[in-house]
Amino acid sequence: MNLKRTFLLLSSFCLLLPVFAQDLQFEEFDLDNGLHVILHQDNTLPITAVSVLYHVGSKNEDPQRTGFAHFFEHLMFEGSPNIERGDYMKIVQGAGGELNAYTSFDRTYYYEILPSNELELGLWMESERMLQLKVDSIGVETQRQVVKEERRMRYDNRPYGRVSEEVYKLAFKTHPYRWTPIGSLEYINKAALGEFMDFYKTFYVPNNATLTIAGDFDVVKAKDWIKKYFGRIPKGTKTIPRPVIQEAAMTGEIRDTMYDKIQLPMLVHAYRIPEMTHPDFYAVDLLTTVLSDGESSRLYKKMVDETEKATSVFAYSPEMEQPGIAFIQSIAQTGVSLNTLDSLINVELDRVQNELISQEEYIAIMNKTENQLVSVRGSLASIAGTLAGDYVFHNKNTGLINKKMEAYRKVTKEDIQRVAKLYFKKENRINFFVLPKTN
Amino acid sequence: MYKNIFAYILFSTTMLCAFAQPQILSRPIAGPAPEIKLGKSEKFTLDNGLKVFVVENHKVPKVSFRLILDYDPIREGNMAGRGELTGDLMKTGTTTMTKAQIDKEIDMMGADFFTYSTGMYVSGLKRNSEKLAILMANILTSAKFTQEEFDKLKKQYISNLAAQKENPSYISGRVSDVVMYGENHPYGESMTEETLNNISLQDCEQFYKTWFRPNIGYLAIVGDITPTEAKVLINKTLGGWQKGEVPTVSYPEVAPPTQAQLILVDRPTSVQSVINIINPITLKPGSQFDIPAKVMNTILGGGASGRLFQNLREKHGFTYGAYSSINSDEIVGSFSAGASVRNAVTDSAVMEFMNELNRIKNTAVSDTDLKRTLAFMSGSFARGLENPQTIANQAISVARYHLPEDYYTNYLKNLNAVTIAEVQSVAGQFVKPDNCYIVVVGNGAEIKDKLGKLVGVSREFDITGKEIAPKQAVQVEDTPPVEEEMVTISADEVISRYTKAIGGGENINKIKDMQITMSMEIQGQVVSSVQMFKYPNLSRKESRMQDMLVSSKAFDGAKGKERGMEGFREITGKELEDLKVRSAMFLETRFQELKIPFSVTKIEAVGGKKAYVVEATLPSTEKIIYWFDKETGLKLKEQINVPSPMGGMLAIATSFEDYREVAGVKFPYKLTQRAIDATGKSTQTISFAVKDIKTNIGLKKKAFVIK
Repeated sequence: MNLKRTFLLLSSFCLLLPVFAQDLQFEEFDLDNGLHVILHQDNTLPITAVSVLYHVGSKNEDPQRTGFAHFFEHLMFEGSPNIERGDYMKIVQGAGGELNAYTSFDRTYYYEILPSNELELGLWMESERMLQLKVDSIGVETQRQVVKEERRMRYDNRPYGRVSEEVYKLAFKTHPYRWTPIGSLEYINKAALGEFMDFYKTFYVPNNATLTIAGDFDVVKAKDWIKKYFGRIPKGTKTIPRPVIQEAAMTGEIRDTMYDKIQLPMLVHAYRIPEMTHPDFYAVDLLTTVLSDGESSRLYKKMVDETEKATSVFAYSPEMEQPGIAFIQSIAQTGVSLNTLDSLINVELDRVQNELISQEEYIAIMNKTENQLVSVRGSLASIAGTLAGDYVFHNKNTGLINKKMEAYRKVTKEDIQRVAKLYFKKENRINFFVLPKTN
Repeated sequence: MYKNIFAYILFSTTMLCAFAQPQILSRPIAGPAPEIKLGKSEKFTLDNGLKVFVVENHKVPKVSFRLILDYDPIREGNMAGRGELTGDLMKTGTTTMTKAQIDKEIDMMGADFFTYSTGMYVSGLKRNSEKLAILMANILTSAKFTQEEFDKLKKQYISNLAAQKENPSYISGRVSDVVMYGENHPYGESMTEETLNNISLQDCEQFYKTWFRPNIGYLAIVGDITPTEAKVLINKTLGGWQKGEVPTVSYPEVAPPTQAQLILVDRPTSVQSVINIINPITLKPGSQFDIPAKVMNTILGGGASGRLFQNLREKHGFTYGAYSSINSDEIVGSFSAGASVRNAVTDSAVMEFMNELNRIKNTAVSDTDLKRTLAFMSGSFARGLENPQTIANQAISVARYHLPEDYYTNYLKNLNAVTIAEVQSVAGQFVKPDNCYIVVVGNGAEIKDKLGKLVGVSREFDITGKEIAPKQAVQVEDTPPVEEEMVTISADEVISRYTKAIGGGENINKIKDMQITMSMEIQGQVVSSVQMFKYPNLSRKESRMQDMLVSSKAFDGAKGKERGMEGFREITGKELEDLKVRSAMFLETRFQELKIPFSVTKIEAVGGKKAYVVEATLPSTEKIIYWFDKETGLKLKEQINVPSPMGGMLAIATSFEDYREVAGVKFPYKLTQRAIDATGKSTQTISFAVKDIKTNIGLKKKAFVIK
């Protein structure tokens, strides 16, 4: 026992390699029609996750049809010649499974988690809607209302709900990241059946999709079923548009203000940062951890704890396929002006730009990152999503899950200082004030 | 509603279907059901009474510690918020560490570390598990609060109260608790700035000393750790935690209301209503009714296959999601059902909720529904086991609620034995459509009148959860003058401002014909209405409910005809002359041209906006009254008298909102029509939503002839 304790104490504040005794195992292959398949077997429990990632998101939309990809996601639950309208969810749930989907700027992702004896059902259902989705006007009109309610509930009817779309709008002038996946009511109203048909034929094709199975299954049987159900789907015939729009670099700070029905003002800084595959992305991510993850982090400690000027502060850098933005957002204490928050953040940014972070901070951010990364392996659903995402968005690097911590560990304190200087500067940011609307 | 949409489909036969020849490949048959094995947990009790449960799971190299303090809910009265504040204070200092030191230690480990009034949750990498346990124990046994951290937290709490104040979901939860449990129940009271200011540092210290005791604690240790390791670690770190006398409290029962009550909270900026229908229930965790009640709730509103979701979302498109929940609790449980819906359908949505609550109560569920639900719930149970915390929760529930040791071993068996009769019996017991509170947080001006008609008793609350005393006087129905203000511009000027505001004469003149499609809903029934105009004065207005013609009225340039549920008639005389005028496209911009006398009479407020009132006299001497926005020039409202079906005259007032541009001209997309009787009371309100406006589509004259 004594020995073990010494070992624990020794190890507690230094970095240990590797995290897992074993890498996460998977195999992958392509069908002739271009569908990419990833299999990860884990027979611990009799459940299996099935997912399909379509490489299409709001950035593929026509600027006059924002919200279209997400609207279409809703229609994917409508059925096929073999699945009646309204039955899609009932079949999966009646088989003891759960299902859902989401749409982001870059991807549309569908999944089912099923008892392992229902894997074939999951494959059949995903293949049906990839092969022969069937939607009628009732479906479109009903989901149009549903999507509009979703927008109202999540954005329009909620304090601070519309902030992020305003920030994206300011941060991008030409790139389609200038609108957010929920889109506008105006364009949701306009989306028409014929347009959905075209979108489906363009993007919902096997050569634009990744099928992932994670959990308890027999590999030979699973491969047979994949061939049977997905092999019948013809390859898409249209070219899949992948617009690469270079957003011009910012030439100076952009400042703007919005008024919302809120009580406490919010400050948002948004800095233009590179895409998730860029070598600097990990350093940017670690920088946001230094700034606001945990109560000893720099911004939290300064703004919430010591000076009590803010009730919260939060920095993060969403992973985007193309260059995106990192946020620092903070809500003011009663009676504190946003200019005060602004200067507190500026002081902390100056510090991180002008001197290296301490060794203690470096250890802390590495431990936090590792804690988060190992948690990814805590559920089959999250493993499936990670494998598929890494394949599609990290240049077919499906095994990244096993290498990611190593990549973070390669980031040095100097790298963090460098990215702070390079990206977190005034002329590269949106400085956005959200103020209470007065009557 | 359905029939109506089918009719619509006949017109647009397009279907999104990728292949003309569908491939028929039927649903595969499931393999044999796998065996669900429950995870194992080990338990032991420390000398101080702390009950410890260990679930070993090596999937990820992490360990978590979760402490539950099991004490009766405490009524805090004028110190509401004391427990919550104490929970947060726990992390701000011990006899040996300052807050800064605690924060740093947690962050250096990259750990998650939460303290709250009923326990703690701590989780981190396996290699830090000993340090985590030591820190957790230090906090539990030696917490020491300082005035400085206490003041800081209190200030944050007050700001957070302000931040949540405008959040409709928060308001809904707050008001629901107040009406259901009452201010004097621990579940009904809530902290305010005032109660926070009543709390002292000593009160929090007292709370900590009284309630943070091992003998009422359950500690779950889950993850990459063996029971032996856990036992040694916990004995060493928490063995010295002193037990103490913990008071028990009991509370009177909470009764449901004697009849359904509408609880309205006006939040004028709302674009959606948050509906929450609630009633208290008596349902203890693990009681014989617990499993059947959850089955019933899943059928009604447990997810995407639930009836509420299928009805309110998939059938009516009222909401993004509608659900119900049933909560068992040792003191008082609750049933609730709710959704966020757009303003215009709030009353219809409430009606649908009530229909579904009555249906589950009054009608036996089908065997198919029951079987599907049992399969879904069995699946959920199995999926839940993926998270090792579930296994710890189960073990703790067995101990805490004194359930049989094999409660979870037999759970699937008992679940699948639930019968149709049991489902109906628990529905009758717990779902109370006649004895519930219907809490609605939304835009009062738009929803109040219609909701008031649905429920006999209605009460109003403000957004902080305080009841607003009912007003004695009947609300004045119409536009009282805000102040005497002199009209300083001519009627011509008002009209020319209006013309300019909607797009200008040039754009208006470019429109030679147009078709406006609108729809409205009356308690779930959709009425669609199409209006067609052709220059100079051909018009046709038609309304249908489902596929039934409600009314059709047209002027083809010479003759006026009407067809409706009462048959066909030709319009003649003065009525025809009026119709001829009212058929003019953009009538208000053409008074001069059509020689219609008009004048501006006064300035009045309409919906908080100042407006010029313009009266135009029709050939029959009947007047149309218009309200034009003083600021924007737009038409806000118009009113005309019509013969009432009950005899006498009825004023029809139409309000116009949501102007949108079509072909360079602004049209109102939202029309609210009210019928006002001779006493000035509003008898009916109908909202129309414009679905579509088409211009210059080449309408032929024959389209305006009714046969």
